[in-house]
Amino acid sequence: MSLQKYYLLDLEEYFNADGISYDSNPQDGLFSLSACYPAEELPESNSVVDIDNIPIKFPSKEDGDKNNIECYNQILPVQPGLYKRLFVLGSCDNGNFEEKIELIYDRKVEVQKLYLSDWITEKPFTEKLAFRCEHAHSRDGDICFYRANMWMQTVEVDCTCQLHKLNLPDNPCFHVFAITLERGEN
Amino acid sequence: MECLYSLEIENSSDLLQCINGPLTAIFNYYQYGELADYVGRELFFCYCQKDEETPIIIRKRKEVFDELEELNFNVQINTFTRQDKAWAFLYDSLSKGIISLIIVDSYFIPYSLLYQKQHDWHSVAVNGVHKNGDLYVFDHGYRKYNITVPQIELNKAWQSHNYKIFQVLKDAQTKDVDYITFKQVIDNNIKLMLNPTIDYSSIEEFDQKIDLDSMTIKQGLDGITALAEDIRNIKERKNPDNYLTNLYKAIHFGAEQCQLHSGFLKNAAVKFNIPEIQSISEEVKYISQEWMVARNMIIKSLFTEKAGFVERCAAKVDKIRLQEEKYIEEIGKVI
Repeated sequence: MSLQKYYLLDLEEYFNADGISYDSNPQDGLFSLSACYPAEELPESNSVVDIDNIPIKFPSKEDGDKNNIECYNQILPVQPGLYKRLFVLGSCDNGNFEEKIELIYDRKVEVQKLYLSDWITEKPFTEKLAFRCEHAHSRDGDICFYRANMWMQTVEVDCTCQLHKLNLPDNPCFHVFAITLERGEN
Repeated sequence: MECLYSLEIENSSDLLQCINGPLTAIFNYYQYGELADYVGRELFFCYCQKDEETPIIIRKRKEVFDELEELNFNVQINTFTRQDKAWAFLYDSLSKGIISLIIVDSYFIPYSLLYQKQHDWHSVAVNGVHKNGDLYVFDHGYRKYNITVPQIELNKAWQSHNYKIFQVLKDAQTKDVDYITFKQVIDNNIKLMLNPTIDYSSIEEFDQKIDLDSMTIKQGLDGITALAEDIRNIKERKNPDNYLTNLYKAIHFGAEQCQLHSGFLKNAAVKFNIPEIQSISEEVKYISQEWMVARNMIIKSLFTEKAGFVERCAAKVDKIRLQEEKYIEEIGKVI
């Protein structure tokens, strides 16, 4: 995995939700209305992890830290440049959603479909499974009969235009934990 | 986990409503997928109207089971007072290859948004059982397909509705109907299912239907504007949470009707080989999802401490109005 080929977006200032909690404090996070991901089964806080040779910056899981974007038309600036593909680490609560993401280039705006599946579904769209936890947390403790998944979706980017920004959809059930861009030719 | 009985059903439904969804999947399971196009077909775009007494009136729609009975299916409904008898009946049905719909309370369904928050009527199809008693559930309302639910949880949810169970069969004596007989029963009725009054055999009939639907949607646009206003002014209500719950139902119906319409267009696109209609159908499906997102915003406003969901919901409904208006223009160009 060559980090030079990729640009890992720093999303920290855009995180507006906490979807991960530790066994010791299950009340910390709230991903759906009543549950969240178990920290123990996910990568280290703020580590760069390899998912099928794609580097992803995993957010902080620590108590009190926000770690995902609950989508509300946020505009994310990216380092202007040519990119080939966009990788989104995320999942949805309350269903699988087919949303639209705007890719804002120097000369045009392109709308691409972005599919993300429900976090506990066993029938996802076409994403890669990034992480699977063998349980989930409710506010009262463990939920052992669901496996909590995090998915990685890919979106094609026009590598002939300079990408400047991304505009996320308006859907509070659509959660983004990390974004990586694969650089195109200079 | 070892499985005793498992009847694999796939979601192929464009319908959102919790009962219609599994029903169409069940019809597909019995290889009568075409039936799915007809169930609920007439339930077009019902939009809410303002009324001070009951804040939102949704045009009374025909219940899907009434519709099935009119189409000569027998809908068997059982309730049980005894837990052991209810489960014995359910397991017995599964062993015979019969999928059952059971009525449950979302309050006890662990993956539900309303889990341990609010009681609400809901239905799921049960299509399998593990050796340890856990169930395979097909839950279209919450988009969870073939998900495992522990028996102890499902029991609480089902018990809340007196172990009410629905099966779609012909004869009242259904207990002894096996899978093959059940298929034959459906086979005998399939022609009746394809009721010519809801068929569209020619492109002219399809055109007429679309014209009529477009008029209905147009009339509904003002209703959507009123709905957005109602949401925006929710704080002025005496009991905003109750009012929001009604709005939630209205929005859910909006989603459902768009899904139905999208399915209708998709089928027509294939039948009459009009690719433009296929892409419009995709857009209508997206509008339906927008309704669902608006609905989820209401839920989140009711059950989380975060602010702003009500305003976002009103803005979303405004946007939906524009999308529906655009749809009428687009379909008008094609027809």
